[in-house]
Amino acid sequence: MARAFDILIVGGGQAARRAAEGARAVAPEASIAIVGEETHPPYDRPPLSKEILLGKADASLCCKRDAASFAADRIELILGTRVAALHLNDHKIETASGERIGYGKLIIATGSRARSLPAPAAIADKVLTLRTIDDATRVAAHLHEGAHIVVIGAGFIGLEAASAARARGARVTVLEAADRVLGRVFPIEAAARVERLHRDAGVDLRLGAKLDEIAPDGGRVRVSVGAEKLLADLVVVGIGIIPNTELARAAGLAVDDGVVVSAEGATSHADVFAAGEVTRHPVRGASAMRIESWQVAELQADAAGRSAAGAPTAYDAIPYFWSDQYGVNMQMFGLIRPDGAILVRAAGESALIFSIGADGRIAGAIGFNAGADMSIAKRMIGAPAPVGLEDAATPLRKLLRAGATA
Amino acid sequence: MSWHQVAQADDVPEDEGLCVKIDGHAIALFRVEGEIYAIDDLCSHAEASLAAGFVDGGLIECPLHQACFDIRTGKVMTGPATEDVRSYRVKIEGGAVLVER
Repeated sequence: MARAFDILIVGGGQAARRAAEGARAVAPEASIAIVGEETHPPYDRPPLSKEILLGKADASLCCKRDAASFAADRIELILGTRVAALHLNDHKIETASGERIGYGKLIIATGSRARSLPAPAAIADKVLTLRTIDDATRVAAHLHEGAHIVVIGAGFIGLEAASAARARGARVTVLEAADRVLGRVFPIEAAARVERLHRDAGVDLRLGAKLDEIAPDGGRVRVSVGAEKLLADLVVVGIGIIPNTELARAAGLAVDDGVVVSAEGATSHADVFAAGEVTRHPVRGASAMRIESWQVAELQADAAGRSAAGAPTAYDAIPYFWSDQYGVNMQMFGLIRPDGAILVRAAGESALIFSIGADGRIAGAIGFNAGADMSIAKRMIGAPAPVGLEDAATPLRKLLRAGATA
Repeated sequence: MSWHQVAQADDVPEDEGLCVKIDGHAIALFRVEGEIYAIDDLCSHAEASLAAGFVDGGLIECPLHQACFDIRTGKVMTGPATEDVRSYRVKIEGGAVLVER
């Protein structure tokens, strides 16, 4: 007798867990299963590039629930299992070993994978991406005093790895092909602050660095940048992630960068939903987007799970993201409008950087050690930028109140 | 368990928290609709002071990662925190705030 579940979730990360929890919340009797490729139960990734690399915690910090907790909630975990195909017309999935598992509703929560760089086999264990618990454990083992870590790519993952490596006493070189860090996310005013943080911490940050070759060199890794050769004990590759949309695409679902979904997480096919950062979902104040963040895995997935279980639930959160580097807390709400204006409100080590749209409204805010002002900035998203916003001497709370009564 | 005088009631503001210590342990005091409540100051997710967070009605938002707790009970309402923070009994005597710990 073939296995079948009312709700079957393909993918085994945070979004899978949250989709299962959302479904369970509205469908107490439904049979629910998660099919994941990794052997770990679903886990959250933020600590991987922070506490785990810093050596402050082990992998258990990432695991919000253990296998027993899933079992108690009657969420079956089918782990170490790769899904090879989705047969939507038959309401079945097919695993790599050929097993067919039936479903009533399918939720695609396949997430993303790290983009990697080809490296010779001899140094494959020293050229690592940072995406999974196993990756983080391997990278952490190399971070110690005297080691030289070369980070390729100055995105959030690379920069968090650099921050952790410096904290553990390693020498760190960051190579970034663009002329600035965080090019996809932060405006230059915010990126420049991040660059200063890293340089002040002793990171050799090289912008406009074109990588030529990665090769073995006497037990270490030789990284060639133009005429220069850097010898590294470990290379951390942080050049982005690729959404795992192949299964959805092969099954004929609408895919546009991510799996296209409605606010409720419904795909282009009846009985098929998608959850987490593999989705391209509607975003408040913008067109649909694929967003790589904890928030999407947490809240969009919860909504998609509820919708799949028969309680249509829209996801409409203001986009939120955080990073912690060198003890500096960074948070971002909303979106940065490339066509708008940037307004900087700074006082010492604390700063809020606002993106103001062409319509004069606040589109996004990035905070550096901004504390409770971040919560206030969140409440200002979408509102007209008040006069005096850049004046850090005027309490933000006062401007919020003025805006509310205007 | 015993009662400790930690502050004067008038010192607890309406729209932000007040961090006090009992034997070195940080506790955050909040005022919600006139009543004073006490919960652990340390966020259950990261090293953040909840007293420094944003108060919205009966909720406190952590200043570092936006986790949200019910001030009256310490219950976590939204992540990234997943564990509640401890809440403490409070009584007011002669204008002084006493917390039981």
